[in-house]
Amino acid sequence: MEAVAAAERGEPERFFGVVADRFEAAARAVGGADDRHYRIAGCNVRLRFAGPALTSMLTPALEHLAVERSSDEASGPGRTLTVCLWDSASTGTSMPKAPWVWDTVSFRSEVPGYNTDRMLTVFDIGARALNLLDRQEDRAVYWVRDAAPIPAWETAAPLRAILNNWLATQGVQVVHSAAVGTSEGGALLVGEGGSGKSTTALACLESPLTYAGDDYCAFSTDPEPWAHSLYATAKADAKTLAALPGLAGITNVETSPDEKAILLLREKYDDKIVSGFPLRAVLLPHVEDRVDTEATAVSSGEALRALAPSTIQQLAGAGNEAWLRMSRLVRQVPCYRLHLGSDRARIPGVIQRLLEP
Amino acid sequence: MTQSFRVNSPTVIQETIDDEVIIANLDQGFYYSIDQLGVSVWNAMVAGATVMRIVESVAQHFGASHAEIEPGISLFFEELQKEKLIVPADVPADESAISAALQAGGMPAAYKQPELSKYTDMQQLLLLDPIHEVDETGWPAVPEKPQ
Repeated sequence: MEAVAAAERGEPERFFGVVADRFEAAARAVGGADDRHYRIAGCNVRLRFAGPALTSMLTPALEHLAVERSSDEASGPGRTLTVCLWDSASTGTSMPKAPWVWDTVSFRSEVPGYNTDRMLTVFDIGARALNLLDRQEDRAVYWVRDAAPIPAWETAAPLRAILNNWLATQGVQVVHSAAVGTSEGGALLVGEGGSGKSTTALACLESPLTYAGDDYCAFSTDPEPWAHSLYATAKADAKTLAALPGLAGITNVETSPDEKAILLLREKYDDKIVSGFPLRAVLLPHVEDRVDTEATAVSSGEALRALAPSTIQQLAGAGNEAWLRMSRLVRQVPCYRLHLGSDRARIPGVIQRLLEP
Repeated sequence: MTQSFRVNSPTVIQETIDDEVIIANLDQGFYYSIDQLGVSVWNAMVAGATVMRIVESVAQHFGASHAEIEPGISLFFEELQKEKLIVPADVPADESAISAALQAGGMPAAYKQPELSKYTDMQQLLLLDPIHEVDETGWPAVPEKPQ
């Protein structure tokens, strides 16, 4: 009941205003904000950094989508999302105490009473990052107490909660998925962790197929199904790194040997990273004890079960609307199970044949 | 038996796709699927059919007695309630949608008691985040980054 009352009293908007003011103070403290412009899933996004501490951690994954600011709009028509990013440690600017009770924060880090049709309030517990979005005003804030401890996986896929929820207002759905293809057409690779999404996507880097992401991507369905790249990074375990020697030498920003490597793919595969392509299929990779890779048709329902639950679980704010978008997609394009064989070099060929008109 | 139900939205989201209903409970972190006769029963329930109405239609369609069909259908509804996927509600009956769900074309060829398949892998992922402790700043403490 208290959570509902907070929303009715306008607490989410008030708190956003307080935090946005703190960002302005942080920017003044470091001599002004550093603006970066991006075109993400066909939409304009401006990141305003107060100081350099977060810039070097959060922008490498997005650099393939960077654009020059040429006018009020970054490079194209439509609304522009402005995200203000700051940390307290490097700017010397404190954050007011959180006005909510912490033990009520949900599994997806959403703060009860502070999430409404207009406002998103998420505290990402893993990254210790506050994510605020005002959908009506196209404004967002990202704050951490200190940039230094941000985990590598956050640098691999930054601003997920904000982008997921704002892009949804633009008809774009972020999904837990990889994506590979050509300018003629590509596929989403979907499934829970360990299913072989990354293995498949990374195997395609040495093939004619291009790459739009290995963990999180986006899609839209109007006017036609289209896959959109979000991050030019890859996560790979030791087994995948050993099987794909082409990945050797790429900077791994993950410092813990127990975690998956986080690779900045543009260092070696800049020409393979694309912003998107027409979406022609949904593929469900499955690692199997075989040599060759084979594809078999699956029902739309099976594809939805592979795509929707892990997406809904991982992306704060994703609910019924996201579910419906995903169910629409798996009805629009053919869906296949990809029975992955040990000969990784043959995987891209199987996908290419599936994508042929 | 004369009760009707509604989907426990917004925490429960569901979609009938091909010949399968896929349901997610965002609060609990489980997802589910229903197929065959369960799809007909689910869609009739969503359209406002009472359990009694569903039992009668299923019994008639398969040429079985009320006593043969009722336990399986009731058990199915009990499971749906136990999983908090549906809640009792006075839902206006959409007769055309109920008929479509329970008519011959909406029913499987052979009777098989409806079943709810439950998947827990989503819930396991949800349990990864521990309850966090808040320090004097009013925010969760920042963990040490591994060296």
